[in-house]
Amino acid sequence: MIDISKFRPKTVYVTYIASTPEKVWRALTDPVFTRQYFFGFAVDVEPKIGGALRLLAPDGHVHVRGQIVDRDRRFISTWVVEGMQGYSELPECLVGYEIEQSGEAVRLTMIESHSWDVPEAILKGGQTGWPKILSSLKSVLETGNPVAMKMEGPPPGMTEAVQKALAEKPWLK
Amino acid sequence: MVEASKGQTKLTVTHDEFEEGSRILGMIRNGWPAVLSSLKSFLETGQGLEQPSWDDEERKRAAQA
Repeated sequence: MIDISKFRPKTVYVTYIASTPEKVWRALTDPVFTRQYFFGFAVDVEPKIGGALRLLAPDGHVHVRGQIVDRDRRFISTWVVEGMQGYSELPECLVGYEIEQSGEAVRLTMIESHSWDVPEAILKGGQTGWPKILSSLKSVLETGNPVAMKMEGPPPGMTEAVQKALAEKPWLK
Repeated sequence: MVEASKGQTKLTVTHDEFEEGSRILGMIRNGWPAVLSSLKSFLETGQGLEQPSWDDEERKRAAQA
């Protein structure tokens, strides 16, 4: 099992949703649900520590592969992007969700953590994607309808930054 | 910053240039997500969210940290 104390939060997204913690939990872990708001991707998760997590694209290919490292107070998984050339050779990151009751609403926090000094250009990928995914999740829970979002390719400079990182491997230093 | 496309709007709020160790930063860090979440709910459902007390939220976060 990996040592999560080596990881630092780099991207945090907080949203409040008029829903219940149980429904938010289901929206994050049920493949029928995630297909509605996560660019058509289905999450396939074995919800136990050490369990596998996969994110399947609409055409069936595995876009993300991970392993559950915490599922008690928080839901944390390792996260390796396999669906994009070269990305799977980067060190795995952690994606964690925290779900808390806050008054009548639920506060959902997404935390993307990394174990190395990730360049901003690489973080930009998640910083572009997460707000779309989680905005749409909120809409599905509150209105029954997602916000139609298209997944865009990597933001400018991201692919170059990934190639540079793979050549230099700064995480080994 | 407001960017519109096909019936959707991307709203970006930037609030920066805080002093080191600013207490206000701790509050607005909790405040903005709550306000903007409520704005989205209001626009989509006609009803905003009940707002938590930002001071309470900040104390809660500080206690957890």
